[in-house]
Amino acid sequence: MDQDHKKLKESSFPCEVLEKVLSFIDSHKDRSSASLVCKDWYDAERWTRSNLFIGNCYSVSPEIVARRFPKIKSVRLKGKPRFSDFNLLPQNWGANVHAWLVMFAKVYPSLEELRLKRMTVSDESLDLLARSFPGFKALSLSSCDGFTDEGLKAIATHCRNLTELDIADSVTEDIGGGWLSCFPESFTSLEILNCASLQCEVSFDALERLVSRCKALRVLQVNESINLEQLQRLLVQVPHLTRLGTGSFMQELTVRQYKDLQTAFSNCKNLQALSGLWDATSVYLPFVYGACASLTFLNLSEANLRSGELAKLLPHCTSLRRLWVIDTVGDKGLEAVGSSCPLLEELRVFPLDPYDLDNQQGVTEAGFLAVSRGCPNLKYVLYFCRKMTNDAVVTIVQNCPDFTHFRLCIMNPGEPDHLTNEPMDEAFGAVTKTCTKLRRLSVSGLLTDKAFEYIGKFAKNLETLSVAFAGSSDRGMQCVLEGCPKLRKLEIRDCLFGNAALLSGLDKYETMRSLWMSACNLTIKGCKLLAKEMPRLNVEVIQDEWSDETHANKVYVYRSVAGPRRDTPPFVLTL
Amino acid sequence: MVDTVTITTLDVEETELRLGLPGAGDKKRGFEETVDLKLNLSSKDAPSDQAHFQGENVTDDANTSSAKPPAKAQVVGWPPVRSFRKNVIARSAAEESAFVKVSMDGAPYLRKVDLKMYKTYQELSDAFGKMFSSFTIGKCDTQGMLDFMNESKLMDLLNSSDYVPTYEDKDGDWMLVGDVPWEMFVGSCKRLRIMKGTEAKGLAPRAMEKCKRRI
Repeated sequence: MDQDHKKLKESSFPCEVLEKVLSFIDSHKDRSSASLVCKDWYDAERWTRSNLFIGNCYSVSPEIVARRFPKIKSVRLKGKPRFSDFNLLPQNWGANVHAWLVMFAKVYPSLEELRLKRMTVSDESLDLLARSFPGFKALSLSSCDGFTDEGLKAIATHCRNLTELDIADSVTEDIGGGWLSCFPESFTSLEILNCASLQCEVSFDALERLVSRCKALRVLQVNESINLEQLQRLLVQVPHLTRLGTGSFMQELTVRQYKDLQTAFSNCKNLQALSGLWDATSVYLPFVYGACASLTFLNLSEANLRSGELAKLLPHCTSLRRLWVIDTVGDKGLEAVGSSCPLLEELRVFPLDPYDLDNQQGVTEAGFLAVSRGCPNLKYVLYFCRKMTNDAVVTIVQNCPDFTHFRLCIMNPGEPDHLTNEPMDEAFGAVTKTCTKLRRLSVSGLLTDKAFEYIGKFAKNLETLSVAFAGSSDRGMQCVLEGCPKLRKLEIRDCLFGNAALLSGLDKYETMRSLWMSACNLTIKGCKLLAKEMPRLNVEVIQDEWSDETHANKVYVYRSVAGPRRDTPPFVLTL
Repeated sequence: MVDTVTITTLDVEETELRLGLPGAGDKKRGFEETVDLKLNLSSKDAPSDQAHFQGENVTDDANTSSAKPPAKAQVVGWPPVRSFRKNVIARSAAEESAFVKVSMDGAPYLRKVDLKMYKTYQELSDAFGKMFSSFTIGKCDTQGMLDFMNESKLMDLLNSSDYVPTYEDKDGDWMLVGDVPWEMFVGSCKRLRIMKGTEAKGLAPRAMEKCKRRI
């Protein structure tokens, strides 16, 4: 035994070799596993990790990260819970990136990439970022808020080696377009520019000059203020684009201009993704046809196309894998999708007018069925509709058993099967039973505990579950917590689950990233009990106008090695 | 002479007098309603477009009426749609149909057509034929576009007693129908006038100039 032990020690890899081997591992999950093998592996891993991914910025602190990882070059950081997208989180809740940036500036001066999602980023933070990292290359701000063009000006002025600037769907109401003029004339390194969500005018002159000198530009997504004539002038500079976001199509064109645009689009032989297309209609949409053959992603979620217009466009998109549309295309438009897009893997159908609950337009189960018949490779669906039936969903998943993401939103809360008037339980039973690779599920419609029994019984690969206006008792939530071994994120709103349901997951929450429950039947007492039993969980109650001394209207529970938050605003109660 | 009436407290609405020729506005409106109804009936084979048109009215009504019951005041954050998508709704109020008035010289009344119901000049021409049955339109080539380069062909057409469709574009100029791609025409046509070839002659040189400038 002793001799064997000695042999093992002598033959173990010197740390340089181990580090070299581990440096090939990119996946942070694999790296986490590697770090748990033994102390040597833990050390080797921490010295070789260069990409940092933190799914919940409050699960760990900047100090802990700084101590463990000495050599980080790129950071991905996520902040607020997803329901903040739908205004369920008050302003100033938190997830401010500043403390992180202060630490990065001290410990990672050679930081190159920063990708933030749902975080608050102030102009001060952007200024700090711009001045602290001379080699900084890529900034991506997805669904962030808190900054104005002052912050962007700092980035444009000081980041000499910037290759990527992507402000995606960040809240940009206060942002002007002047920052574009702040890129110095000597700046030529930009490869990716996405400012599509800007609500203001941008200086076209500055944009045109920037585009003409950045020869490596491959992604350009402009905002609505750019018209067709300007778009044409940009396109002739960068025909090699792989992703294009147009501006507005609302402009009178002469025949000459129309033909020029047609030519410009035909010269874009490498286009893989096309978006923007505000106000695109059958009048001018045809000039994009020449660029459609290589498209794998078409985002029409800003163009109110009708079925006929979509039916004319799709046959040109022979390589299409991902399609986003508005429900103005109707079931008829979705039939066209089914017949024209056999390679389709992802479909998202957004509602034109989600808040008018009496509106009978949009899509129904017929459209979804049509797509499923023509697109057997479908893996990702996000479908907003007003009517659905159990039978349709059963057939849909038989046609497309490979779903990994199934997000169905029947917009009227608690809406039953519109033909049988029964709950939609069987629909989700079929989804979970048939789609064994399912990782993400959003349920809707009238649902009893039966639906959750199905989820708990069959959805063995489920990682994210979103629930609203559903369930008949605590048992529903319990089935999910006991049955889904890979569950990481559970978000629930407006259900009758109470303390018993919450506490049934006592042992579960530490294996999950987070739990969100709002407008359910939780009390402060129940939450306090959870907090007491599980000290490594942060149990936070957000007080709002529906809260009182007993009712806990918004509860956010997440595991953390950093202890309770130190930056809670007055309306967040840490239990 | 204009009548003015001091408004008294009793039965104000009934006694209210309006300025203008007696009954003229009402009569015209009444007829146009009939015409529109006829056109709408014939377009029943395009249900989705119809639904959109009606849908538009619903939206307009919703915007102007104050009678929305509180149940429709939405639950916060439901349906789960990102707030920036709300902009799309505002924009959807823009034109989805393209109704323009059509007049024919010698006919006693105007008609209205929705240009979005047709896909080519030929279809529009056929529709005119049905609407104004004693009427022949000038010949169009296979593309539906008049051959401007062939002056003699054009002069023949304009010298004949055939009728020729013309339209007023967004700049206020009167143009011969057929000079631009169909989709562009739909986008720029404000009203149509079908006139005798000989009368359209006066247009032709101007129209040709404008077309040459564009190309």
